[in-house]
Amino acid sequence: MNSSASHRPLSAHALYKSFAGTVALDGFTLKVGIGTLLTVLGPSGVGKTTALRILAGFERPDSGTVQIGGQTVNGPGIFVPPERRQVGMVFQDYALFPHFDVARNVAFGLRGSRRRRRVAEVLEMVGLAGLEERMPHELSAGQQQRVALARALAPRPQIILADEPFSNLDAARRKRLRAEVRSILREAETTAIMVTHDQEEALAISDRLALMDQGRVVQTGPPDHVYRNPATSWVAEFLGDADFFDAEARGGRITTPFGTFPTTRTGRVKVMVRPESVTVFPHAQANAVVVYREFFGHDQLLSVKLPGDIILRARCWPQPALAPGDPVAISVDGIHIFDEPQKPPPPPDSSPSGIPIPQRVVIPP
Amino acid sequence: MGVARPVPQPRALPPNTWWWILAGAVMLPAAAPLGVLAYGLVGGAFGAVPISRLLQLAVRTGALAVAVTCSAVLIGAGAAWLVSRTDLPGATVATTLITIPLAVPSFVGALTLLGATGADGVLSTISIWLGGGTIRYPSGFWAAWLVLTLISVPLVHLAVTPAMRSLNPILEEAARGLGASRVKVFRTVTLPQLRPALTAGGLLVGLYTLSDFGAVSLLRYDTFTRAIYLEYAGRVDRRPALGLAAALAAAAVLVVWLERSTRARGVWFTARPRRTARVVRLSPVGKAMGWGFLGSLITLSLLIPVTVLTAWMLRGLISGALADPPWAEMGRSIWVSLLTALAAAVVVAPVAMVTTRFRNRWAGLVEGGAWALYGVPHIAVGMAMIVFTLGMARPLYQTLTLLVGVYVIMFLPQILGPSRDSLAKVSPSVEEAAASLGRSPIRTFWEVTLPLMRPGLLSGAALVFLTTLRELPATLLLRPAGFETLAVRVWSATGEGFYTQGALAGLLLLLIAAFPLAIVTRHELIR
Repeated sequence: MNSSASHRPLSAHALYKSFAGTVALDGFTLKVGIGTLLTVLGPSGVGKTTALRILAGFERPDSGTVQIGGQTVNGPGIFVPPERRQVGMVFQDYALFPHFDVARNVAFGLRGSRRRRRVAEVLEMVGLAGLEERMPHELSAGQQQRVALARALAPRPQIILADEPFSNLDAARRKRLRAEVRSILREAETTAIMVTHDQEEALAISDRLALMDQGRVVQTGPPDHVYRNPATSWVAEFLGDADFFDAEARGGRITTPFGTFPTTRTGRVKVMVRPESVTVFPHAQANAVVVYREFFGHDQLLSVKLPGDIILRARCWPQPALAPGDPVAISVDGIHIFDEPQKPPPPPDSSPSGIPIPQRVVIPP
Repeated sequence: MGVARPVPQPRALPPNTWWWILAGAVMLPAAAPLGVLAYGLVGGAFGAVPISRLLQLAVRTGALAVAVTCSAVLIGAGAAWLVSRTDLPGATVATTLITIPLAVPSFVGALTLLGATGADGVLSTISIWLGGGTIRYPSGFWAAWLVLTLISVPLVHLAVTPAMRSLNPILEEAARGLGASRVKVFRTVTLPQLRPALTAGGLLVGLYTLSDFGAVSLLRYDTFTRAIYLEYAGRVDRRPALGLAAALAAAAVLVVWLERSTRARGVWFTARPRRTARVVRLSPVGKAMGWGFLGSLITLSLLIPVTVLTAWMLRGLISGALADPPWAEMGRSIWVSLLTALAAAVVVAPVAMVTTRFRNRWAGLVEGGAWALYGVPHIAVGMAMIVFTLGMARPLYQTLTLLVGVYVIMFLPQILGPSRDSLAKVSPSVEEAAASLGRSPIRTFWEVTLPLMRPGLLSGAALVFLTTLRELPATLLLRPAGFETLAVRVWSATGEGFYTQGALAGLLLLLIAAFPLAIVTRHELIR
């Protein structure tokens, strides 16, 4: 056990797990710092839940090590059962004990004479003081979710693990509750790992993101860093809308249909443009033309056809209302460059190689 | 906060292995009767029965099973249609009254038929008083058919009514919209939707008739069950009885297999009906005919039996023939039924756990084993256990332990079903939550799993109590010497013509049965 790891609430190294021939985890590695809310983000079926269940002790990995608070809980010849891991788990279906009231649910993990005080304290923290005697089925989904959080927080675990905690809520309540949960976790100064497939949710509330694909973590970092510097085109597309173009870098510049950008690369590259970095102006003489418009109320997404049948999407203010056929001029405020062909995923925590370069190009004149 | 102590080696046996060992220990005894019956079929015993006798019994048993199934399905489905798809007034009351005879064991049904007829019969007395003659004792095929049909109608009624209520009107309307006639809609759309419920009800009735011993033995109609008992009682050689038992068990398995293999493969995937199906408006004549039909059914299956039993009991009280009420029998019945219900509730826990929480490829075998024994007629299980204990476990022969053990393995599915339903309603993540909050697997079971299973355990135990109370053939074969229960008392008193004695024991049986029945129906209502 190395000494630097002993300060981490949790670290997992090279976890492998397969179920009946299907590989669920393929070298899953993750470290979490004290007081961090880390979100494991990935599409369904990449092994997020399996990873979480291994960390909680509900599944055993085929190989790999897990340390919680510096103690090895999974390793060669070592397995600490879930009841001795001091991990607080928030389940997707909340898993409240249906035969206990709120107070007994929250007190379930507590011992000793100060139980009642701690229950009151935690219920206060999640804003449910006064509901101690309600039964779980008498609570709304949002309240059940907060009881589940209170129950997990009550024994002051080293780390909270949450599996898609907001997926059973409707869209409006989900947005409100996730902000609340964020501030509760911050107030409790708890380290937490949350698993979700919802990129908006992950970007909105996490201190750090860990993007997961095919059983392993492909990139970690703060949400805005990962969004702006995706390690791979897969990460870029998963986190938001993106258009990709092949281009040639030569002599310190990349020439694209929408302008020329400086670069340090040479050779074939892949260029990514996010729609929000594209600005559109109505321009009677322009040779780019709007081909499709999706209106969202707070903004609009325009598909613009450039000379050479290239389609570029632009997210912009809802005004002016542009219609298919309208000629427009565009400017691209920044691009991200990937080497082409793609290299295998870089190790986690590495800095991606692309650099966004502000640039302003108007076509024409 | 304390520090997690690493366990040097993975536990030798994780908790689910322990559950599997316990479940295996519970299911292992079930192998004894199945093994003996299989041996009876392939080994020597089968050959001890003349083939002509075997064929004769097969034809007589089969004829009764087919006749009872057809009439019970027709009457039960007709009554279900009247109460669920028409505007007949009083439908709720009718449903209750139609289902009450479910509590009447077949030997009590036979007793009421015998007590109603003959020189002293209650109906004969009324008939003579009205200026008619005596009604002759019925016996044989038609007597058995009448009693078993009346008792079986509730089984079909209960199976079909929910299906009729949930018929999706959209499908019928779609068919009409595509130009199908009413008759074609009924044949191609309505009937196939009802078919699973009809065959399920029919299967229950068929198996019930096949395995019935009480009615056919008292009404003297020769079927497998009656023949097995006569062979057993009259001979030292057990082989003919075992051979017949094996044949009967094979017939029951065949019926279940036939039903499974002809089951329609389509599944009716439609959205839950927003509206309930259109109710047929009956004309006044139609209503009168409807109530005439339901009224006759209720009179025959409920009113007459209650009147006959009460009349015989009053006769006994008046004439002083009831000097010796069956209190001891009642005590034994309650005691052995309670013991069985309790034992079943204890042993079902591991079986329910491994078939819901810790399923693996053996789970199907455990479930199949439990249900296989449930389908085998009790008299066959009893016969097999006599052969087994005499051959391999002599100290168990005619002991209470054996009797209760056999009851438990025969009735296990009755408590397994509700316990599993209770468990399945709760996500296994509640147990994981308990673990992550520091509870060991054993404490998790006590504090979380068991309380969640409790409603199902209670209702299942009530059902086991009820079934044990009314069980006759296995009790006759396996009871310790002199161990008379109420069921045995009704059967032997009726067989000897002591209807006053039989009537009192029968009424006591129905009275005791009302308590567990109340528990079961309350559980069903809550669900």
